[in-house]
Amino acid sequence: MIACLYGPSSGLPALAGQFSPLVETVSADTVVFDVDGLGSLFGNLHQIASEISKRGAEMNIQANLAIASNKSTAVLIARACRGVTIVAPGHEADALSPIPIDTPLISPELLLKLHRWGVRTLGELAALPEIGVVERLGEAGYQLRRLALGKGNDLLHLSLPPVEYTLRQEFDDALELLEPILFVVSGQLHDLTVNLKSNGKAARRVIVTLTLADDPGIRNFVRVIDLPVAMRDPLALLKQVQLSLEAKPPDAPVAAVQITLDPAEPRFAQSGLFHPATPEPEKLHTLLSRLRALAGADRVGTPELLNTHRPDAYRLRPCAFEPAEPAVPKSRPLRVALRYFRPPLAAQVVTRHQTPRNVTSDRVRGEVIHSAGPWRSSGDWWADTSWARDEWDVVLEDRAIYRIYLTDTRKWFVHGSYD
Amino acid sequence: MANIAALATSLPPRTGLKLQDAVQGLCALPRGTVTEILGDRSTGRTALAQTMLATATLGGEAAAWIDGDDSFDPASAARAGADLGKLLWVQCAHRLETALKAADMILHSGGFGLVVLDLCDVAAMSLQRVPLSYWYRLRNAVQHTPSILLILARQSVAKASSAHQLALSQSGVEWRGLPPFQTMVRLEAEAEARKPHEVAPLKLEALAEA
Repeated sequence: MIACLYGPSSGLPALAGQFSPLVETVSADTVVFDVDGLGSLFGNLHQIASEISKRGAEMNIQANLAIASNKSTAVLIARACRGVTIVAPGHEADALSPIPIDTPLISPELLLKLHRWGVRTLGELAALPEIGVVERLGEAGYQLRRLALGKGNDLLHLSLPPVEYTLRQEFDDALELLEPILFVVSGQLHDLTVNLKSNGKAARRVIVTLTLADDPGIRNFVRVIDLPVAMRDPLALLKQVQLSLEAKPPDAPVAAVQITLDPAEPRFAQSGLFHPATPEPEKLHTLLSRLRALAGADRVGTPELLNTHRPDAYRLRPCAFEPAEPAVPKSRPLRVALRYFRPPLAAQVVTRHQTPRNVTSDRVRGEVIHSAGPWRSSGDWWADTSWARDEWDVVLEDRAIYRIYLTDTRKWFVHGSYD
Repeated sequence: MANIAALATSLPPRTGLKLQDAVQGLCALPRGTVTEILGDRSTGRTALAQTMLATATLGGEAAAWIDGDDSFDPASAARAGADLGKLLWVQCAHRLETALKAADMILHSGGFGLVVLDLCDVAAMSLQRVPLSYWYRLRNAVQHTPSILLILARQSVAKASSAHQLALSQSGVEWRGLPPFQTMVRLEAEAEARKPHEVAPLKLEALAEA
């Protein structure tokens, strides 16, 4: 059974909250709440209504009260009938019958049509033939007629208070090593993710707050770990915390550790049956964190070519693999690839008739048996990054093919090899 | 003599079957194995690997290129047809140990169809010092997975841990135009299957950019 309080008081949610945790504030003057299960406390519906009225009077709340089997019926009756109204199950249509159709639950367009038809009350609307109403008003008409018959089945939209996912652990003796700290964090993450799962949530951010026991006093060491996808696997979260703390460990003994998870909607994904597997986002994020710790933060990612003619122009962006429809495989010719020397190798080049004859550098040296060039290129002359150079493709005596170039400052470099 | 381009563009199905007859007896790259592509500079090793990269990424798979000597050119890979959005590139800054650890991490993480370990420009002395147990560990990591571990090097490094070895040698370069303003048209090489051994070499032909 659903109860509805309708009145100008601002204390309606508080009054409803004294009887049920399942409260929905429909509007500023209307509150509905579930009264199922109150029978064992107060008795029948009349005794429940009496108790609600009594508490309302104690709180100086003037409001109409209606109790019905569904939310829409309770709201309609509470708004239309003064005082306390209890509708027994099965008698909703009779109770709604005299109520005028001019209610906020019906859209103005539908109201206009119904007025043109001469329909003034919900009882008159309920008396209309169902098929005729549906033919003329469609799905909205069908729902409206069910509303007039007291057969609405709309659910309560509960306004639950936000849940905080925070755990704090204080130590008797301050800890200096990461391993025992992570042991504690592991238990905290496990408990927090259980709470997340029970509320249908996942974590999008982990905030690690370490209270450091310094000589002069106590201060907090905070690490915020933003996750690319919402996750709630405690092991994956623990790995993120571990990598973050290993990258920048606390500089003093830790007296307390607090973990806070920012809740978010979990990730829903269903890949196609015939889509090739791609790395799971949780595992990929962990992998990228480990690779960045190993190779360097700016040396791991997905390459992206830049819109310029500058040689070797690219940038690395964070990896994110999305399942994609595979393309139809087709035969493709091999393409000669360039392998760069990064940075380019400074070289001494002997020329004859402005043609390279010998190349000497740290890793490349030999007589030139064939050369092609020069190919002049330049760009970005309007910026500090301007370049201008003459390029040659040279074949050395070991039959390896290189790209060498001469800068506008008359310096030679070996830029790469063809392979 | 079959064109070895068929090898690169016909990555085998996930069941790990052998490659079709198009490569005349050369074993394909079954999933869950280590394959080495060997050769000196300008023999087409990278061209072959980048074509495989293109096939894998266009097939919707994620791929990783572990760059032992920071020599990978994404523009070349894009010209070969690779979908760079499906590529994880790890630059190892000339550190062999970093490259080996990165390969181990990526293989254990899973989800990558093709993992290329590019050691072409790493000093041979450094490679020979790597204990065989490292390669054995990589072989175990890729075993029973739908991934292919492709090692590019001058000489065999994985030894017994590799299921296939393909050795490339340059057979010619074709130029077009009047000297000295010539442009490279194609690079020709011969591929010899060393493991399992095949007598007849295969012809490899890589086109230069137009």
